[in-house]
Amino acid sequence: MSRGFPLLLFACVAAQGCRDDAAANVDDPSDDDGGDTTDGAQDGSTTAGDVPEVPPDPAVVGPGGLRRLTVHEYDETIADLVGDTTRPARTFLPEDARLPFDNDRAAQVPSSALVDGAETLALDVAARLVADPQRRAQVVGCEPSATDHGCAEQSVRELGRRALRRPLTEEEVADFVALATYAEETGEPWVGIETIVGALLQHPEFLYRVETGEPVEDVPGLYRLRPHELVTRLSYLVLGTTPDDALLDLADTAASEARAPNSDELRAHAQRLLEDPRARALVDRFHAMWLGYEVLPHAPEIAEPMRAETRALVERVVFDERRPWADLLTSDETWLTAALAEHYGLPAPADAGGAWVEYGGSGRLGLLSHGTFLANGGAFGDTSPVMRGLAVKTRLLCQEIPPPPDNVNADDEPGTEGSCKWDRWAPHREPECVGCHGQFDPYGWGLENYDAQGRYRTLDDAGCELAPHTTVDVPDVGTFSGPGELGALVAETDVVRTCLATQLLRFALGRAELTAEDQALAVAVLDGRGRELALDELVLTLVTTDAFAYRWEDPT
Amino acid sequence: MTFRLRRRSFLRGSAGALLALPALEIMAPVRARAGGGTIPPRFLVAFGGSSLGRGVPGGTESIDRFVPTTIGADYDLPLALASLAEHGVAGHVSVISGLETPWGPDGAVPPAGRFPMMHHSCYGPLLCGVRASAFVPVAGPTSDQLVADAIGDDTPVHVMTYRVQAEAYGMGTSPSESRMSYRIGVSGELEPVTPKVSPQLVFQELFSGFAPPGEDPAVAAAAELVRRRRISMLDLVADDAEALAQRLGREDRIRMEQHLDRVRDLEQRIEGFGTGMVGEGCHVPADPGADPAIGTQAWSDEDTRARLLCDMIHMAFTCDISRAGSLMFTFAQSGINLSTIVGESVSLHDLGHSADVPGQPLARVEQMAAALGWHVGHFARLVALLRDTQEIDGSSLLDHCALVLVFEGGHGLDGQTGATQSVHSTQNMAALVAGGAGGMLQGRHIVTAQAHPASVVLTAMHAVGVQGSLGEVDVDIPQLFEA
Repeated sequence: MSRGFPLLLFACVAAQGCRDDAAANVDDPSDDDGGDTTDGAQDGSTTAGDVPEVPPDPAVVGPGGLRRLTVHEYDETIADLVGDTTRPARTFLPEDARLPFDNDRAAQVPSSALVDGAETLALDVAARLVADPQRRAQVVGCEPSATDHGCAEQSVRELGRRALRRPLTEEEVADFVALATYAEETGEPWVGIETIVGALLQHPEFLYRVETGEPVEDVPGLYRLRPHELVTRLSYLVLGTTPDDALLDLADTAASEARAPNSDELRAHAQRLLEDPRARALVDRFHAMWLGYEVLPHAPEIAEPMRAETRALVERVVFDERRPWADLLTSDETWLTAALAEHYGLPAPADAGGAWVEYGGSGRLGLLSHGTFLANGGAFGDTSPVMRGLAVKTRLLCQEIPPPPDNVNADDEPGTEGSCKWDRWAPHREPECVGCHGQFDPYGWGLENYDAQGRYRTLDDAGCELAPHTTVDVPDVGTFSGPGELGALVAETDVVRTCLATQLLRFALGRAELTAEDQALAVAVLDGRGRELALDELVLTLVTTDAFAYRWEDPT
Repeated sequence: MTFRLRRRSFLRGSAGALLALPALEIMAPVRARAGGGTIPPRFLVAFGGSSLGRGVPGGTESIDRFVPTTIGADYDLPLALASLAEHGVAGHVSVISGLETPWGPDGAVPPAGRFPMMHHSCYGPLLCGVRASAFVPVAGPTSDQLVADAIGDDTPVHVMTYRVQAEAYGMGTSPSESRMSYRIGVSGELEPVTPKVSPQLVFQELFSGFAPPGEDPAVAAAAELVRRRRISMLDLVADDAEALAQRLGREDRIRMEQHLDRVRDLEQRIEGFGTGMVGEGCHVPADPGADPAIGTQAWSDEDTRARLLCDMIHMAFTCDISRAGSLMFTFAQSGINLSTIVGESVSLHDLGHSADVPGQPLARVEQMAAALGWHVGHFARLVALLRDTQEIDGSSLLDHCALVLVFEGGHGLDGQTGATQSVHSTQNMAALVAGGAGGMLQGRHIVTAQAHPASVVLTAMHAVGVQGSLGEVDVDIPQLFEA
């Protein structure tokens, strides 16, 4: 790591417009230049509202607004709120489209299926909560009475604050407490609590995360997220669940001091959350959605160890060893059970239940060699070089490919002439097709030695030799054969790191559509970091950027 | 007291003022086709996401698994229709064959037609009767929504929108393949209607807070309490949603107002659990219990799901809780795993392609018949349930129903590649119609001369008293009404 790196970090972070004085607060031991390169950075805002803020350039601010909890987030949230770990949202709420993430704002249309499902879900969760004496004692913390609403009011304040992710107004408290009248009517004390919880879980500020913010003076279209909105965004990004009391307390404090949580506070909490095991699960899920292996088309005996294999690698690189993210693509070890090792034809692990195994000379390296990633592009019972190639190009490298023309049937193999697969796919190399297909088919062919189940093979489905066709040259990328070499090539490119940052932004902001502005934003967040970029550091940087604390809405 | 908007009648203008929608034909009051009576008609359109195909085992002789060889009454039952006999409903189910959706190049698609590429082009014209374009596969409201608007006004559940297939089974499906219902929304624009998939959720929608008339007063009171509690919660939610909407930016406000509309719809529905005139067969079905697990890539027990949904549709019709609906058995271009149905792990889509390659063994051809037959079997079972239910005047409930089962494609010429005998074709399509609403004849095999498949759906619409056309299709199947 170059000595100039920390300087670069501060300068770029300052240019990003971080809102406090990084030099004053960060004690980076390798920074022996005094770190006073903070031109453009504001004064530390650890004291209340002393210094007026310089609003950021809208060009480096992302979109925001109302965001509904995804099915996954709902389940995580009620696990935290009421100790319900049965994952009922999956049953009652419509499935979220994967674009590739499950949280695209534009796709979150409030259908009857959603609203009805949310009601049924809320009633179900509430009923099971009050029917469980242990859980209800823990969650509610007092014993309700059919006639005296003191416990009801207490639980409205506490549970309501957590559910709506902000303190309730007195009027709101009264509205919820009024629901306790059903306890009086039925003579059953817990019916009141049940009704209150049912209402809380259908409330628009429970189902939706409000990220609208306050308008910034003199900058139409620019909004600064309120403290509670900001900590909520942070919590769902890093942990995928509702902000805990510590984060809500931070928001309460900041709000009472009429200021925003500053970078240090946000970074410190993000660091804390990253140490929670659920952050690992979220990062694993982020990669699975991004790279298309959330659901594998294999029998569980193979699919489960494959997912475990990739999850183990992600956790090791990102969390345990805090290595550069690109090491995911070049790791020379993988975590295998005995069954999976046999499936791949790799050496058996020391522990049949799972252990790290060296790839050795097998030609495999990193995540692209895993059965998870290689499951992309299975079709007609075999692999599709097109679908595999598209997975590499559009998912891994964030490069857009236009859809096929109308007169093309993408359902069948391109040709039937010849028995060898290479010959059957010859039409893609014809002049009228190669303009598009030449951009991604080669990636797929370079991976053809690995079947849809991630096993190595030398022959295609017709028994023809694959070897002549699986060493490919991709312009501007290089020559490779197999996932190991592809991973090594891609790991050196800036394209993949920009893609990582772009995808992280999309996930953080809930935005499926990739615009040129998003790509520019991603580059800005990356801060020129190269091969040494670590994902956890990227997340910590992201939560302190203006893209995260502000939102932009076209005022026209 | 919150003012209740009747969604179907008003648009909310930008300043909160109310604007009336122009009186569209689809909103015209229903005129019963065959003499008015007190017994309302019921309508269901069901969809199977596969072409019918035509098997060529042994490479020479082709067999049709779906279309009978005889015409008229007492038609023979090909492999895929065997369950009609098992449930004893062959005399109540008509087969309409020889159907065809026309096609043309994008930009020159004929009326009610499709563009040449098979997928995404078929289901729109089939379900809404409007020509499809590459960008807009479904371009008009679907029959279930049109019928609900016409005959479902005073039912507690305006329209039933359900789907059996529980997940995409790894097919990279677009959302438009996972639903079959579209309606004109409050904004005056066409919008898709997301189906409910969870039987538990459907049970709540149809029966929570419902007490059949004549029920034990204690049970009725308990149901009334359920309704009141639900409405109290929804009232609070709706008021806060409205307040929240005012604080949001333009785009988000629209979103929140849409959410608010749905909440108000739900409230109205709960309030509307009235006491229509229903026969003795009406009772709240047993709680279906926890949904079958959604299996990943394996099977989500769609068999149980289909049975539960059909049972509940039957009881919703019986209790006059709802009179119109759609049931999507399988996604368009469905990748559902058929291992439970055909004994081998294969997707419906792949089987549809491979089963009709000339020279396939007969077993393969029969597997496809079983796959199609699975859809027919559940349809037939529902028809039998309706036949065995008495209305208040002693007639069979089925006499007042019009049910249709359509499949995504047929077989023949592939307009895109020129291949003949292809499953990528909307030639030689066929559909099933059941029920005697509007005096429909039952139990006939009718061969049409390339009638549009949406004509069959339109026939069912006419049978329940909804006049006019379905999109660009304005001709029904008159043979179904001839004496």
